[in-house]
Amino acid sequence: MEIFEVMLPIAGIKFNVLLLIAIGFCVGTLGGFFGVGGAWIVTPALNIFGFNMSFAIGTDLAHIFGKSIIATRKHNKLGNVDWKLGLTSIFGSIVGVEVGAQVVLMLEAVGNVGPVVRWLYIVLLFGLGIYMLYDYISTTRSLKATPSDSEEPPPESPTGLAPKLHKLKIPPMISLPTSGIKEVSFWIIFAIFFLTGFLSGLLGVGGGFILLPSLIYLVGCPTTVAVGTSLLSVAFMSGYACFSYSLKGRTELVAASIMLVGAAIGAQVGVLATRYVRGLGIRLLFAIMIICAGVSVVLKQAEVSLEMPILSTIAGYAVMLAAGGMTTLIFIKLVKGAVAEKSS
Amino acid sequence: MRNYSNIISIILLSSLTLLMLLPLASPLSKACAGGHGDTGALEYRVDTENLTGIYKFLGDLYNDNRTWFAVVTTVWMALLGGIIAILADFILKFIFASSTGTARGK
Repeated sequence: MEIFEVMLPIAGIKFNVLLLIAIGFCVGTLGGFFGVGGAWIVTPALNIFGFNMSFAIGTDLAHIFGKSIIATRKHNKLGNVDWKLGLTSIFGSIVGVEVGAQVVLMLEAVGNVGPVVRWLYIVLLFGLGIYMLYDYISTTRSLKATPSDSEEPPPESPTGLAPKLHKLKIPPMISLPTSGIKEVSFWIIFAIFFLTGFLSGLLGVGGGFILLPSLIYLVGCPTTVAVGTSLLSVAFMSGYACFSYSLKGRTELVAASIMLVGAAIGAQVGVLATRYVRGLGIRLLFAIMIICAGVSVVLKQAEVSLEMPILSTIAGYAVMLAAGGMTTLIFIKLVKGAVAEKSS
Repeated sequence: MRNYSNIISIILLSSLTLLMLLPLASPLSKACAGGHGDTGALEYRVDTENLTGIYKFLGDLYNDNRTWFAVVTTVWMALLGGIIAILADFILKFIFASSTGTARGK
């Protein structure tokens, strides 16, 4: 298979080009479908296959930047990006990330911050995953209980805390027509993004997996708009991170470019699949995905507690397996949807 | 034309945000790295002796000027993303147009 090996000049290693494209394709599909960056998938994958951890992180972030531009544009064409909300989110997110990071520094000064953050991460992943599963089951039941003459699924209405938050009238009020929100207080939006940014800074994560459920359950966006708007936010954050990591010499530009080619194809698949999967279906798959991520973090925590380095490798393979399985499932849904559309 | 302006606005807004976020360099880069990141500069030099062409250019840029390397990397990823997005749209349009044509032919 040497024919497929490409020299990566900055990292100084040879790497299989097909593997890079395959990794890019998987994370591109998941990113386009769920609106997440997917750093938690690519970084361990690159590391397992021979990348130094420093280069794995920087390279991953560089390709996420390019990929999120592609996916945001595609979602924008489908009318799934709420630009007003996305741009408003920057203010709250920046302040939140900074405060979260300062809290980490304070915790570090006090004592052992690592396990605290990791357990909080586990609780959040499982908590969000289980809540979204519960929401899926209860909504599906109520939809079955109210029979409808139409074959089309009913339009999504705000769920979770969103309807209550919309009732709070604290000026200035803004309208978000793309998200179907007539009026909401700017400060509510600011507070929600401050909270998600705070959790990002505290946990040390990009934030896509927190942002998507927050946009659905707190802001009240339809699922597909939440995916597109989340990607816009990921584009901003990863653009900055790409610059920052390159400045510190941790980006392998050739590898990132090759991965981006795979991610570009994957992003098309992921974004197009959102046309054929109901909002509720996206939520269900997302819930399964973040529970898988939770299991991988549990394995990493167990590696530290039990001093068994093999568990970290198992966690990496588990993440790749889950990502591969989910990508296949999304691809099947896209093909089935396209075939059904063509036949009708 | 509107499609191209979308891409340009995404790139411009990303660049603007990048400038806005510079003061928060350390905390944000740690956040974006999934918490693994050691955010100090890497003391590492690329061996450019056996490299040629674009590889040599990249290696030299990496060794001599990290700031420009970061600018080139970020701008290149944004541009490549934009170019691939346009190409993918073109190819998809072509595929859909030809499949519609086939269907009409039937």
